[in-house]
Amino acid sequence: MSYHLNLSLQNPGHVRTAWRLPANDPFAQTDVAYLRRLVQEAERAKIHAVFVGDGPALTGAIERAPEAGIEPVVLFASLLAGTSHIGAVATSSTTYNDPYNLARRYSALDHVTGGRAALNAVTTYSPAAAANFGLAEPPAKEDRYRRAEEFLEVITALWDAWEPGAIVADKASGRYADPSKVHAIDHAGEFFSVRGPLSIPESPQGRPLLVQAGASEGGVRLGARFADVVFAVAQTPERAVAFREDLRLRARAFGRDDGPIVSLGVVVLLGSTQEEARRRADDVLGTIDIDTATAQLLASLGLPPDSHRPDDPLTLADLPDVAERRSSEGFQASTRALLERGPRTPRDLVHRSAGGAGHRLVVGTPEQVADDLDAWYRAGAADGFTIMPADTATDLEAFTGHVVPLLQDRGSFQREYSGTTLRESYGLAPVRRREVART
Amino acid sequence: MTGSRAGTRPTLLAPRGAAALALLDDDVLDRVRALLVAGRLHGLLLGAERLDGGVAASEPTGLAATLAGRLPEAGLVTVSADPHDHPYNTARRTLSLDHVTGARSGVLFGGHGATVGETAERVLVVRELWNSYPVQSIVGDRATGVFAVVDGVRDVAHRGPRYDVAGALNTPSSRQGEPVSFWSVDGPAGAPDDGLVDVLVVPATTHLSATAGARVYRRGPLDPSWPDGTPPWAADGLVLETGDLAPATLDALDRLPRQAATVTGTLRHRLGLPDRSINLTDRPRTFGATA
Repeated sequence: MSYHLNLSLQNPGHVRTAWRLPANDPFAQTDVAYLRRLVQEAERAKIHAVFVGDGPALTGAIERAPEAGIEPVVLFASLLAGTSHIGAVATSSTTYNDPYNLARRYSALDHVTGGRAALNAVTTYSPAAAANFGLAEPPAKEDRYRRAEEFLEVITALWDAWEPGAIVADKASGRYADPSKVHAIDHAGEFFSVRGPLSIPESPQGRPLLVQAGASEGGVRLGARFADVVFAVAQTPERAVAFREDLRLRARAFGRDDGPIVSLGVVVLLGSTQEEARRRADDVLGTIDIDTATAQLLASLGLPPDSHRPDDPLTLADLPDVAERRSSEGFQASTRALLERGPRTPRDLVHRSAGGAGHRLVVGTPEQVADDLDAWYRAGAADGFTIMPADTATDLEAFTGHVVPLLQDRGSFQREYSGTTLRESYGLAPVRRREVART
Repeated sequence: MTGSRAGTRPTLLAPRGAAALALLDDDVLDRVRALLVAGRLHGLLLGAERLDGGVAASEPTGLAATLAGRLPEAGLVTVSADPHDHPYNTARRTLSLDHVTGARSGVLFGGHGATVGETAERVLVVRELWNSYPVQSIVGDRATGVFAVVDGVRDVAHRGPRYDVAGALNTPSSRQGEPVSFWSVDGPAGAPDDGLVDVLVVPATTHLSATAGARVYRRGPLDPSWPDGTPPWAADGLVLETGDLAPATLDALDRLPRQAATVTGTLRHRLGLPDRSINLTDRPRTFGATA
């Protein structure tokens, strides 16, 4: 039994207000030297990949906490220089990018990292993002997912259009590439017309890995059809197991018997003793403005901002119908599964997910966190975990330095990397290239 | 034509095609670094293939980010010549490169197939976005819980012939005010309005009568047969193109004159350019005022 572990590099941590803690540097998010040290520490611990989320808009939340910041492809191209095995999962929007340009950028990232790049392809709802790209309002959800599906069709076709061995580089004859192994894709669809081929040869992994995080109908379909890795969110093991099984069946329907692996998001907050962990939880969660977080939680659940105070009980019956909601369905489903067990206050829900974004918070000693991960893995909840430090400045190194060695001693986690590319490291099957039209 | 740093002509190396990828080779990288330390080169221009309508062998911002840590003495200038790359994405990526290089970056705008007006609109939107989220807004006040004072965060509110962009950008502004902006001039009529960019980059053989208030750098292929090893071009700076970084090419670069190297500080400082920014206080506040 051995599972994968990814680490989120989000700063100041999954608790967005953790920058207020006395020991934390509020400017860490753009401190590249600091971020580089975190990546090197993660590689020392044999973590499979580091991850950052992203979106193309600034929001008013910046007044209270850092937001995205440095664009992930540029950031990881810089951070992975000087490392040799750890992978990078960067996030880009299929709603506000052009597939040809994004295919080039990720292929280039795969080249410069020697085969350690992954694209976390997300759709973007944000009205602020729409306004940045000349739209009066965001595209409808169905349109965003239809565009995302065509986007991934185009991007994978572009990556597959360079056959292995296309670069000849024969110095004697001066022949560099074999044109018979480089193909146009001649895609003409609802959203894109793309001739191809890409200007960059096949990348070291065959193609960069594809990661998907959506839990809506459209998101799960994308994951089942295209993804190598699916990020999942769950507050209960039953919900995680059901999601994974559903994904497996859907992938099989696309002819993928070796469907995507599932990486379950877990927020960790550590202490060397239970008492220290509880005290740290009080400090870290104490930075959250509970009134603001409650309003955000209620909005995410489709409820009016004044419907509940932080300590009012919230029940399943209070939630509106699924069709009325526009926020993350993974978050919805995860919260709903929790409320099925009984009422919870907004304060409790905010704290359980370390700020309200839906992922489960685990507070404890290294042994307790290791026990928790092992138990969820044994229950069939996931193929591995994406660890999101609650307070990155403390919890990232507490995890790599104290939890990882325990997991290694138990045989739950690798002591060495099992390959040089991220695909090999995850133990994924080789790319099944699509036959691109021979033009 | 205005003078550069006293007695220096900043020199950028523009490796094209396989030469750009050769920079990932440790031996080549070591020799290029030695050229930078010696003051024979001041930086790299990546993606120059795009200026003539060709395709770059790699993606310039990603390659520059990869090289940033290994070449701390280098200015890193990337070419942005694709009108389909939305200015919000261009601004985000290039300003991000500025952060990972420690403010040693610049962007050479071109537009093979685009009109001067179309490229000028793209440059203006990108530059305004670079200034829309001032880094000084980030105060990190633990006592009040205010992370950023949002009064200074402004919409660019651009509505133009080609682009409608609200802003603000979600990457804070550069330590050098904004990245150095270059403009690739295709021909005599190809220069932008005064003050839009810091530096015009002109083919070595093209006559240019007006300089739009910018420095003028000349670009052309590296020629090992130049007397004294340096090109006979009248210019404030040089962009030397090469399709390979073979030992003979690196030897030719070693014959470039040693100049007073400025290998610390921002790219603006290294190139003798003043700090620069666009005042957006006449634009709408993105979030209203901080309470």
